Amino acid sequence: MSLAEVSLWAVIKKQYIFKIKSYSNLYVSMVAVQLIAFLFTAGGMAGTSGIGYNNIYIEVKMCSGTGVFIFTVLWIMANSFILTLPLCRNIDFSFVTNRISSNMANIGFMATAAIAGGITTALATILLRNVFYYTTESKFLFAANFWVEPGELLTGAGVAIMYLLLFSAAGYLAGALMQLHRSLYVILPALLLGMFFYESANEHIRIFKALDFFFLEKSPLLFTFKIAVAVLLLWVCAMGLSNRTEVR
Amino acid sequence: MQLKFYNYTIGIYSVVLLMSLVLFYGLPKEGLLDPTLDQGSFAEKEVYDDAAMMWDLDLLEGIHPDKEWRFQYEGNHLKIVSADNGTPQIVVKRTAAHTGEIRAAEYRKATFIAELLNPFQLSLSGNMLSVWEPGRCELKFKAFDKDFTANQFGEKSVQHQERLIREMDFVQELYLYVPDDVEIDYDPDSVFLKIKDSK
Repeated sequence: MSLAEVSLWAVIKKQYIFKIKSYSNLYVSMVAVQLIAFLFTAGGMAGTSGIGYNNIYIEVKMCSGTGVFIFTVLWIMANSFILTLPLCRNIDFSFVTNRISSNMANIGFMATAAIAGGITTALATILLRNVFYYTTESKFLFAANFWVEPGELLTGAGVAIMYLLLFSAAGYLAGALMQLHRSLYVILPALLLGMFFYESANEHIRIFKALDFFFLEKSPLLFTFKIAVAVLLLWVCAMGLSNRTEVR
Repeated sequence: MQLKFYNYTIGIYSVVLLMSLVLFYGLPKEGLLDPTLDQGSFAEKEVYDDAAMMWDLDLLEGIHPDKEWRFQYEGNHLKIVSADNGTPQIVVKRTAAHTGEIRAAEYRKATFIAELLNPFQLSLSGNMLSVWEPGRCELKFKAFDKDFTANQFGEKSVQHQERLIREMDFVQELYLYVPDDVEIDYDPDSVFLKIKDSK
């Protein structure tokens, strides 16, 4: 038994810094994931359309930074899930710790990852535009949607950070849920995949349409509020669940 | 060692992204393809549609002759044939009789696509006017969709397809000006002819 009193915040801070340093490989994986998305996107992942008129055929290869964003979402969900695995959880016990400090440090780490992911996603879309600019003859590249005003770039980064926070919290909750019983490792992904297939087979049923609650929100304030409430709920649920897992 | 590699990777990636940002905002804003699609161009479409219906596209201001041919012709019978496998679409306008001249003009709309097209080819031999179609022209463009995140609070992304369709309408038209006294003969299966009388 230790007689030294350590404040909760001091422990959280120590754990957070430790996670930032020891999980730097996760940021390298982010770079790799974004570069892969970049290559796919540069190849015209957003689609190609063609139209013809008499003897003229026009093909337009579409491009968008959305692919980089989607790959970053997958990256942060996977990493948030990894944080709940026993291997990562047990590292926390090298410190004087409890579930709250461990979870709070994880939340801090996920928030940092979301900020890094959001900013790099926004900047990667600019890099993509530069690549297109220098590899395409200017008379074959449309100006519309190409130029990004600084305000638009900041909005893009901000929105990306909010979504990454949301999906990281969802990944963290899913991870915490799976720690309750091993069978959930199979059941949860199966449920998710099943919903995808079910939805695609039944056009009138739109389970994932629920995400429009966030996607279609046009007011910045309401959007921030919705995301903040959802993220808090997901984190509280994940923390509640993690308290039910066995102690080491 | 491994940590060094991680730090270098993250560092290099960050530097590349930041340099790209500086580079992007230093790019000249002119030069990229920027067809406008506003209320004015919708009104313009009606003007073009009406002129096309009357076979009078050659009279419009936004249309200019890209290539012209003049043939001295004293005969009273002209056969128009397709010289390749295509089915050229030609508007024939009647001119005053006994001028002794057949004129042809390839008109192009003042649009960025017009500069990228191949021309028609014509040749008159005896009483036979041969027409070569410009051939298939394939143009490959690149365009950006608004990024999902940047567009959360914004307007709908610009529809490039709609712009291109508008630009392609009546972009290249072949007109023939044949004296009234010259009888025209053609095979409707190989030449698509629209004849407008002078009256």
